[in-house]
Amino acid sequence: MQRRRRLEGEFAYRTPIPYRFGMSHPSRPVIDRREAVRRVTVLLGGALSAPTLSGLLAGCEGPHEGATFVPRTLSARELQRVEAVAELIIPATDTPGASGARVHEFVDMMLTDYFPPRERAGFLRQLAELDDRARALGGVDFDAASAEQRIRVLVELDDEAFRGTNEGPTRGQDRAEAEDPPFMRTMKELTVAGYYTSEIGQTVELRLAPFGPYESDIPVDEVDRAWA
Amino acid sequence: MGVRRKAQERTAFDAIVVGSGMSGGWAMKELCEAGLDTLVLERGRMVEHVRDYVTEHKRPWEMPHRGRIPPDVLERDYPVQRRTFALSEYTRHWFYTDHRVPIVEEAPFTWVQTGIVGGRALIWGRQSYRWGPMDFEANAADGHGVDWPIRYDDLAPWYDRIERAIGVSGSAESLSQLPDGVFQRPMEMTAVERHVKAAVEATFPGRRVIIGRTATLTEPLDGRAPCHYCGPCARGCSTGSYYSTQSVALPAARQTGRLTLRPLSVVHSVLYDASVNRASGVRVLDAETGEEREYAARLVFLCASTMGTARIMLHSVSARFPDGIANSSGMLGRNIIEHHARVGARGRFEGFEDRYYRGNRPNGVYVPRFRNLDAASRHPDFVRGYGLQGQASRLGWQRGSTMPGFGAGFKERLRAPGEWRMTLQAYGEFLPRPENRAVLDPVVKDGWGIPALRVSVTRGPNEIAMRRDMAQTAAEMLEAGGARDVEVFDNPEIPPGTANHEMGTARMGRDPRTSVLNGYNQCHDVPNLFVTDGACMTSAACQNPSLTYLALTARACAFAVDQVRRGEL
Repeated sequence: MQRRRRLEGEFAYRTPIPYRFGMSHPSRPVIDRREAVRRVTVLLGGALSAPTLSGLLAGCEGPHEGATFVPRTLSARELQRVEAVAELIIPATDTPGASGARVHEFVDMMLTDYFPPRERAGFLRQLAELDDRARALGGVDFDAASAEQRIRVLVELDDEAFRGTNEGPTRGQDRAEAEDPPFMRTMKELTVAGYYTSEIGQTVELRLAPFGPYESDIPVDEVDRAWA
Repeated sequence: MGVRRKAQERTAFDAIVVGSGMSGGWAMKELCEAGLDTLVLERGRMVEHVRDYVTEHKRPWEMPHRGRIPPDVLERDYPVQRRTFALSEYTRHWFYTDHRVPIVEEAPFTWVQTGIVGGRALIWGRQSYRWGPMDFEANAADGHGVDWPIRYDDLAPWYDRIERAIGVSGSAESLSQLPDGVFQRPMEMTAVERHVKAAVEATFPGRRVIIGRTATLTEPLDGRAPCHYCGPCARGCSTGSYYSTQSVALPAARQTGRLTLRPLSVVHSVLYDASVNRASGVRVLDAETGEEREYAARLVFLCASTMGTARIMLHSVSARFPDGIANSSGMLGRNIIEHHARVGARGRFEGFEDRYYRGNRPNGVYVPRFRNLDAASRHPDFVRGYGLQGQASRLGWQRGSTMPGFGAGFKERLRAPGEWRMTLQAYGEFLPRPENRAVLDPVVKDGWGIPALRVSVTRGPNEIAMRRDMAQTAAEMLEAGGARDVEVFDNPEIPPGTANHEMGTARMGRDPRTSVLNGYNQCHDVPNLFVTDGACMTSAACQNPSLTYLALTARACAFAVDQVRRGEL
């Protein structure tokens, strides 16, 4: 008999469960307002869950870009920094990256409409603290740092955030800071959500399941990418 | 058919149907097709098939918040209904905001309330299971609640009729607890589901894993197309591939020329004529102007949902019925039952990395009830049983948010489908107890000034004991299939009603002293007043109830029409 782990409430948000039959959902309890990271994961794990609820027909509508984006929360400089960090997380390769998918605009929307003020402030503080990290490593602010230095900063932050412990941040002096989830957890969730719910993420990087008959069991190499 | 009375008798309609959802939609179809001039009153706005499915096939990037409602909006507008999975940025236009349709939660209770023609039949889960003979005998057998006045054989031909008309896909399994029906070709299982099916059936005699039976077409039917597997049915389906009022009942009723459909008509109360002991009609408030109107009819069908119908009846007071129309038993609003859910298990599977699937199947697998079917399957801790619903699929890009690393390699890893996961979630039968009830709140009123319901429903010891077993068996079945890292979940704070299967507020029964309705969904006290929605249910069984509502509605309509023809009503 294998070990069974009893789920904490948070797990419910962590794993996408594409329940779409029956009138109830096994794992969406009332949302805890306090944790911004959870918010993002709700966005990831609920109605947008793979494979079912995100499934949409192939190729039907045109682009929606147009007017210049005006951020509602981020300053121009912060927006640029978010764009740069997101592009490091999901870079352009043979497909566009986070910048091409305008993930930074998504992040501004999320900060504005999803994050309560305290968590918004915490994220913005962590964003500013990238300068401290960059200076410690290379003597210049993050924006002035070389690509290599920026990556080193993110490697450091990613290690701290995903070191395989759930004990929370390993740094942080004052109480408010200690309560913030590690920057790379928040930033990565935002970037992943923003990228893979974008048109580029779903149609260029991944694939939208086509309309038509359901095929319950196909060789995985029949499709070159995961369904969006 | 010549049942229309003379003008001086003020009977404008042969029949009034209150509500246009699962049961009201079907009543409108049956009554119109029987030749009755039928008025359908719906509190919500009109939703036309196809035209009004405004988010159908929308992609996340076309929505302001990529499909999810911001938390402060949920908190402000949907503090109760946010608990239902069906509410999202793609579907919120179907729902009332909570403050327009408040409930007073003496104990936490979720009531999902749409504001549209078609009601919850537009957003339902579509799982369609017949009840078995033992479900109609359960109350008599163990003494909980009162005996059903009907048996499976009374309803079987009506299940046939409904399945033929709405289209149900599924597999014939010859199970006594889950009778086969008239099925279209079943949907198919994924590789891991097939594997788990074989393992469970080999390991646990008496347990079966079958494909879900769903009111979603796999073959053409009456001009409706088979499912195209886009996924999110609750936004509306322009190919009419799942049963809804809009896809089947409304066009059929319109075709008869007998239908008068009035959206934005809030039924305030049922009018009662003591001189003839009949419901004489209904009082209606215009949803927009509040203007009051009355409509008269020979028959009144209440199909306003379990809670909605109870509220209208409780609010319909007269000298004869000071506690609500047809409530001489005092049972109106009591015995609320539902399916307790949000308990089960999940695990991951290895060894199927080369298998995948194409399309978004709006259906899962089903484990029919296996507890307390007979002496051998008797469980020492609880009566009745539960079924489990689930599915196995591969993780998608969502896993990236908790994945270490970043950069080109990170992106490359998310190009491939992730590991297989399977979840099983139980739906358990809830025993009827009179203290689980709804009453009119003396203070709180809805957006039209009608008293809100004050609801008190709690789980009893049988439900609590059953939940322990539900989690245990879900986990052991996954483990039998070789699942790793099996995790059980039980979300006890998710309140009753969240499964959207509330029932029982005007139960059927043999004895007018202990039930509201007879075996034809006819009020014991008021013979031309019928209730065919979930309010009528005498027990809950563990199967999703909508198919049974439809069958009961069809049967009650046939009875009422026959009574009219005979001059009895």
